[in-house]
Amino acid sequence: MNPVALACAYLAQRPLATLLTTLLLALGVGTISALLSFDHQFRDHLLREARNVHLVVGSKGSRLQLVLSTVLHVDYPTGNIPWNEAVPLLDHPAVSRAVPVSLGDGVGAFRVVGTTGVFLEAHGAHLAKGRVWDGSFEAVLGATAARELGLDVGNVFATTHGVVAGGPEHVHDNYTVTGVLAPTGGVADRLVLTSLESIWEVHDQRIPTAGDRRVPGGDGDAARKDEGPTGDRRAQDDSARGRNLAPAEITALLLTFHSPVSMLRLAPEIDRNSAMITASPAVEIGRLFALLAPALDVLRGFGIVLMAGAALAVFTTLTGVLDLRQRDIAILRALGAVRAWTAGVLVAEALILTLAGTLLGFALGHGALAVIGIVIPQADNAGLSGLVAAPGEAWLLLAALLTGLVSAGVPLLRAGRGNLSEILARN
Amino acid sequence: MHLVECQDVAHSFPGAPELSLPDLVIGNGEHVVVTGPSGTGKTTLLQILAGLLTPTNGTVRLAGVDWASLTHTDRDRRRGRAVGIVFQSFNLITAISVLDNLKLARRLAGYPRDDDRCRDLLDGLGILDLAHRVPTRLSRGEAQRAAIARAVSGEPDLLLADEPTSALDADNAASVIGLLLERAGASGAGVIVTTHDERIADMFDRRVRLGSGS
Ligand SMILES: Nc1ncnc2c1ncn2[C@@H]1O[C@H](COP(=O)(O)OP(=O)(O)O)[C@@H](O)[C@H]1O
Ligand SMILES: [Mg+2]
Repeated sequence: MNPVALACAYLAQRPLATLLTTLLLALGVGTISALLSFDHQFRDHLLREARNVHLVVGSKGSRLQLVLSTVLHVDYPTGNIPWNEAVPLLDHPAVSRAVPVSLGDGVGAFRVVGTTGVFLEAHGAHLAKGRVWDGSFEAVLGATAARELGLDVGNVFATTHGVVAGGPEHVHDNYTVTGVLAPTGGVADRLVLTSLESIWEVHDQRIPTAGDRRVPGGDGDAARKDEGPTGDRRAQDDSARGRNLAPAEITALLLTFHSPVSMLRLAPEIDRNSAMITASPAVEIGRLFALLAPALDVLRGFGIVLMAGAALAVFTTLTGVLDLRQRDIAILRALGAVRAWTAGVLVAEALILTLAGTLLGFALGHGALAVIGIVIPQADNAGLSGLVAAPGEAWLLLAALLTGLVSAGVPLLRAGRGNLSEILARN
Repeated sequence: MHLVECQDVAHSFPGAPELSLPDLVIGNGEHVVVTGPSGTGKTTLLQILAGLLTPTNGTVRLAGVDWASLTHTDRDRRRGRAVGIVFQSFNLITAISVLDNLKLARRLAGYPRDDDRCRDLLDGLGILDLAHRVPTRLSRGEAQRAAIARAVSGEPDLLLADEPTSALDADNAASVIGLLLERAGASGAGVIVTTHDERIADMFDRRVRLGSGS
């Protein structure tokens, strides 16, 4: 029998109150920890992905949606823009990097992105094996996509129409994996990358481009081996290589500028003078957080109320057993326990209760995030994980323990006072 | 050196007349019974001897050491090591089993864990089958035996028992006091038992009367 064992006996003596208090505390801590971790991961993820894109140029519609779909790959694309309109921006002197992206297809839960080799550079992605796509119907898989789809270099796979998993239409079933990326920790891990042409051949919306002959880099000029599945395909590839054919439309152009000033000058111009709109990921993400803030605040308030409820439950339960506990402390003193020993029992009781509630809370909060990551593909795409702790959670742990210690400590310390001989002589 | 020395001890509870207690000298291993009508200060005397209550007057020494000269902490430690107490209202800890009450008392007395010894004590008092019961599920008689077992589990030098047979019938009272004295005798402990039960008073070496006859 040590102080901790006795503290456990006290907790076991009123199992319902112990369980209820633990659960209440766990729910409060869980809510707040999930929010903290979510906020941390989301913000982190968004900012990381948005860092290298200063401006997105896409079709008219929601700017937020444009950023979400083309930079973060979580929302549906807003629409397409004519390739012809995008082309001048590729070589614009103010632009340091331009990544065209063409969306619309998927493989299982993963999105297919038609793009150029610049995409890899922009995402700091490197090939773990194989080579970059080189013409149509070749694809490079992000690390997670390759692992979860069970695909490797040389494998053939099919794409479906629509960016969401399980889209009904088979749009093309002869993509070949030419490479797999090393993990980047970013969105690239969950993407299937191919050439712009692949997307366009799939959707059969190619147009001859008389004036502009540029085909985005990364498709390279290396001759394709004459092993195309059909003669038709080969003809297309040939014409693409011949540069008299280019995609009619792309979804968006992701631009990085040499200087913010040049961006601020160019963006309004595009907005005014073209059928396209521009969106700044930094601004849109800021707006997103502003949109989410009230909801997150409500949830956070809810968590705080739960924690306060738990503290109150601890306080009232222990105040309710104050007389009993006072008697026990007197008995322990009579048996030879020094004050530090009896205080140890009380502290242990408070700590066990709050630690159990707090740890259960963290498990619940992070478990909930993990479940959300599994159930909601968008969250999964956003890289939401149950295993990431926000720095704020250390403070939450501290706050929860303090709350527990104070709410338990106040009645328990009161129990420590009182007249020994008078208490022991009671009947 | 005597086990217990009380000199000029008197105590005033707030708002009550002063209660003066007789001078006492008790030797090691001596068995003393304290009798007197209720309200004469039997419980108060035992609490003072145990260092639980500091009298407003006089000195009380245990094995030569004045309780008043010790800090709270040292007083608690010394009580744990040297004194075993059977309270009038038993004062068992209700959150834990009877056996755990004994183990706890033994630990607080500073002795190494010895579950067999604790069980033997319960067996000797006829309540081994109640070892794992919580005290709230004991009858008064059973609780009294458990309290006695706990008081001796810490192998005290001085065993104090406050009316330890009040819940027992005559036959049981005699046998329980017999066991208590036997246990105390085995370890050479001095014993002070209060009672107003004349039938057990004869079992002691010496008798101290409180109240009118003191
Ligand atoms: N805590 C206390 N406060 C005030 N008076 C007390 C207190 N404890 C005992 N007394 C008084 O002291 C006297 C002796 O009490 P007690 O030692 O319990 O006697 P006994 O055990 O012989 O019945 C009684 O008059 C009792 O009322
Ligand atoms: Mg009494």
